[in-house]
Amino acid sequence: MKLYVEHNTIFQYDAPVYETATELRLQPVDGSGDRQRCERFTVQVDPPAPIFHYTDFYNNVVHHFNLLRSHNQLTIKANSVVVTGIPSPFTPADDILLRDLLLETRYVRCNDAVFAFAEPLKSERIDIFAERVAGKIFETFIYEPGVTGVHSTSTEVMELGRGVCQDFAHIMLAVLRCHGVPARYVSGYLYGGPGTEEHPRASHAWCEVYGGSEMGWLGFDPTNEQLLVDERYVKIGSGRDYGDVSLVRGTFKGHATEKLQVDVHVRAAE
Amino acid sequence: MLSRVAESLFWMGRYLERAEDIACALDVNFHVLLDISQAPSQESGNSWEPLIQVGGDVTQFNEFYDSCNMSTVTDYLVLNQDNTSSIASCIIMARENARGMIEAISSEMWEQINNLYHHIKDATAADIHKNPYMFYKEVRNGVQLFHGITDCTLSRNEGWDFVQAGKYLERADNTARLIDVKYALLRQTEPELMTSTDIIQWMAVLKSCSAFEAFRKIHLSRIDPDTILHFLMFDRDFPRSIYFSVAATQSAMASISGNTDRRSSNNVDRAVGKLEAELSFLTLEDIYSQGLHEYVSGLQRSLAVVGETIHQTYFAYHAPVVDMPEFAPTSQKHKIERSIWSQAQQQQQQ
Repeated sequence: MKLYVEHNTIFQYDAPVYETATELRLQPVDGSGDRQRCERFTVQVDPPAPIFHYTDFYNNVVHHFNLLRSHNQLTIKANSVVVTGIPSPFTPADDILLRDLLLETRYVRCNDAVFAFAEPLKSERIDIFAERVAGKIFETFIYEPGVTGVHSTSTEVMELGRGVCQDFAHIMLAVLRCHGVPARYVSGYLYGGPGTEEHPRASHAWCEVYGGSEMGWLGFDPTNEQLLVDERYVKIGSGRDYGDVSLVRGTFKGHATEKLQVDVHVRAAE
Repeated sequence: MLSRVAESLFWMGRYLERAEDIACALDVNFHVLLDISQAPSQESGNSWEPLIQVGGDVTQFNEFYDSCNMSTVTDYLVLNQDNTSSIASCIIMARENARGMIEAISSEMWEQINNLYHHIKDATAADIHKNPYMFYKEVRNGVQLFHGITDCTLSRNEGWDFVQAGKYLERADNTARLIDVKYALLRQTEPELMTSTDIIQWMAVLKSCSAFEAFRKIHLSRIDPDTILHFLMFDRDFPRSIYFSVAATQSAMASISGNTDRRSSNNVDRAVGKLEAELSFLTLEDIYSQGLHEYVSGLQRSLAVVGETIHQTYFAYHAPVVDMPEFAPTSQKHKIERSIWSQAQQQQQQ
């Protein structure tokens, strides 16, 4: 499936700010076991600034730029064209990375409640276990935007019993990791189907579980009933938790109140 | 070099110099009172009040304290952290600056600034009054040791020049304040009628700038107010004279801008160069003709302009002008409050 993604981010300030430094993780991954190909990616910022990029430890492409002069508004437009659902060769993950993906992080916290949550679901096979966990999260937790924030931890979400895809992904990572299954946080987009193109959407998040050198990375989405990640999913990148793949982040100087507006449109080719 | 790091280096130098100057002034005042046979703790008003004019803000002092004597002035100038120019505030802020750019200075510098901080942090009024000589000596030695360590361990690059500029600009300002206050107070007696008490007071002015011995090596005979003024203003070799401090600031700023041959100038080079030129050709008669107080106030304003221009040129050159807080030449504009903010992030929540 060929998907077009438009991702617009606008920061507005009520007083001039300056020396803004911003990092973007918006470019969809390309190949190497990810079952998708990124055909085109462009990013523009206004006020204009030279944009640099590098690839980080988790193989995500990071674009970054600085705006030194004072400004009241910052617009970031990212456009990508991605072909999904194509087989691509898989290289086994190395041990160091997998060990990294078993640890607690800022947002992914293991505790007794998390451990007990998945105890009855245990299975010899990692893919079955992971699917059961995703299913139980989908059934147990209530999807409700606004009750959690961008920096909510899995412990907080466990207690609340509700949240959004980012929170569910963190819960799933916590559950899997405390049972010794390496899993990573995936950031991306989900195509909602024909007729949904006009609605502005947010970005999406789910999990990938390492099923060993034969199965490779398996995608599970605890926010959607279907649970399995298919060709409607566009993957941007992955990391230990949200903090490793936050789409847009940065700093600025000045004394101003900030307003953030994000629009995401995903549409399929005719 | 990042402007943030440059700003921290500059203010670190400046705050430490201020701490040293205040310690010196308090130390000297304490011992002058002993010299003229007065118990420092009983003396009130006259000899302590000028110190507040030199090192602080009289209005603020009056808000905090009912009377002006040794213990209130010492508390205000040493321990009171609401006074941004007290020794404690200066050392705390110097350390905060150092901490924010710890990778830009040597670890020996950091250790020394940290020693000073822990020394002043635990100090109480009782410690100071028990042995003022030792207390002020430790502060002054601590700062001087820091400058010595800086000389020995910091590369002679822009960073070093920013520390020097901060140190010397503050020193010039401090000497100017001291002259302003002390001359207004002591000038009332005609030189011919000076008593031994007056002479002790004039010696104290020199000692407050550690200038007594340097002065006596050049001027062997009388202690004369005009000669002292000339020495503190214009001496080319003494490292605490105003001329020397301004020239040192100029040379530090010139090596930062690369304007060592004076071919092209930025605003900082112009502001500090104008001041240096004025001080090199000025005479005491010029100063008296417009009034010493008027001249020295103007000089302090020029020094504030140099500080402000350094801020605008090197530290905040991207900042919009409308965004600047009130003109505050003697303290940092935004160090204590947070100046760098994280952008908001959007939750992934489809």
